[in-house]
Amino acid sequence: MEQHERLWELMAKRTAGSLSPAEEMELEVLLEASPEAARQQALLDKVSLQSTGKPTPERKEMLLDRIMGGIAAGESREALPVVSENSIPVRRGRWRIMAAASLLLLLGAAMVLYLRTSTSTNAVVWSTVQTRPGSKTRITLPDGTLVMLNAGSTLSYPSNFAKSGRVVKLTGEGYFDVTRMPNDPFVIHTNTIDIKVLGTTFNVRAYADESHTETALISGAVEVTVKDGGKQHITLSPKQKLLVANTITDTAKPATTARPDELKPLIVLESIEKEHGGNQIAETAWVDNRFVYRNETFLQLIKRMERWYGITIECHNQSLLQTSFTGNVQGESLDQLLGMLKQTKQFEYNVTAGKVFIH
Amino acid sequence: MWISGLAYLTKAIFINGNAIHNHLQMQDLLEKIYRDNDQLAFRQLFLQYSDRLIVFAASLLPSREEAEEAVSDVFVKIWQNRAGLATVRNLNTYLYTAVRNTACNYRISAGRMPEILTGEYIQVAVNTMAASPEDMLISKENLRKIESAINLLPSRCKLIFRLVKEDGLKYREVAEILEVSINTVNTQMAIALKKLGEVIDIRQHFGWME
Repeated sequence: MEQHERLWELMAKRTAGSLSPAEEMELEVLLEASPEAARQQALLDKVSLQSTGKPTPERKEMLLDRIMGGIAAGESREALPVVSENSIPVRRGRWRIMAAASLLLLLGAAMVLYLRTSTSTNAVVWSTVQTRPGSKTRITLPDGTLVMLNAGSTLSYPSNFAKSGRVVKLTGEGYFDVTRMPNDPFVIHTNTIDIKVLGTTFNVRAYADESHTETALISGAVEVTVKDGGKQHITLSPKQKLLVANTITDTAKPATTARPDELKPLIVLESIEKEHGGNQIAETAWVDNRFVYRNETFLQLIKRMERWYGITIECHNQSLLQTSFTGNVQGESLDQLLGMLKQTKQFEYNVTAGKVFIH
Repeated sequence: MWISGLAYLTKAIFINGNAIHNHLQMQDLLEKIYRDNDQLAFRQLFLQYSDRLIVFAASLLPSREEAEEAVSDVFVKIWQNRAGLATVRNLNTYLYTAVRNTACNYRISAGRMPEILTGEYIQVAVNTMAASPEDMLISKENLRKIESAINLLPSRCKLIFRLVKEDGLKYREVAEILEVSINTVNTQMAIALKKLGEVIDIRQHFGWME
């Protein structure tokens, strides 16, 4: 048996081409003694490996474009003290890379990661605040602007934030109360749109896994620039909201899952409506810890519940997925919410190994 | 060390046919990048290496998207620090190590421990470079058995075996990239060869069963 182990050890060395002449002779003797193993190995030598999952040529070109974009942004940043508005690709990875946990503002149950990035000595350092699914946090920026960050979201801002123009990057959802500074616009970059504001209150919802990026203005004025589609500018008035399709940036999603909300046109401007029988609006309900859903399919709700409660939901009830639900809860548990949803359309659910299964 | 100073006696069955040819081309390409700031050469470098590096990153990160992102980040940094390419002595270990470090940082940022994951599914075929006409008749049944056994190897063993056999890396390169000893690489290779050899039914060698 031990001899057998030695055989494999020598075979491995042979693969590396590092057998000494003595070892080579030893191996020859061992292989003669076990002809079956010898033939198996000879056969194995003739096999070549091919990993699946390599990117297509088109995908590689796209990655190259992103790399070149990242390089261009880096170089323009070194050349100009002011961060140029259009050349910043919103890329989660770059801010996450260089981590040095530092002081952080931790609120409630929020799990927040505060990361500092430093690419080169004179480059701008970006600070990143990240919330996990199931938690929210509140951030006060150096200029006094207040940001509430919803679950599963990321907000970054540069070290020279107040000095060189107020710029932040957002993925996920944030509620902004921007400090008014007439000569110093505040700019939010998302994957799909850039939002420029002077001083105002509004909500931005830019989750990568949703079909649209939504900007809802509560007061003041904002100007939205759509990155693709000819850099359209749209100015919002209070109580208006703008929906911009994420289609171009959204490459990872399989095209087969046609959802009703994907049938919406690319850009929609509509007014914000008060919630039924009240003075509140649904777009910012999450800030008050209210989970509001209006005419949303169960498929959409699953994603939101996963983020809101930080759990995984598996739905095996196909007809349920396309059923629409309307309602709201405040500070309820997932159990209570599912209980409420069940009243609209009957379904069964159970929780196993930290996962919710719906039948 | 037993590996150093020994001539490479056996033919490089596992290495892509044009490995040596590539080496000079690579030096040329690198020079163009760090000396002439040649972006086209840089693009070529990416196109040459991105497949291997993304598949490698997929063994360290849970999603393909993150794997692509890690490799993209590495290339952005390579361009930014392109002067440093002049001192690179082994491009393989340089690139793979950069990807490994970036992937580890992603994991740490996400509050996770760096670890080796199962990675991408590996397919097997008869190596037309090394096979004689009779060998082309390796039965489908045996190929299927080898393929399933490869994909069932423990993740670290699978990764090491794949880096050697598919990417053509040398043991000492694998050892350096994964920060393990050459002995560990040799042991893992031995385990892989043993497990894969054992599943082969030599009576089916010539594919009579088909």
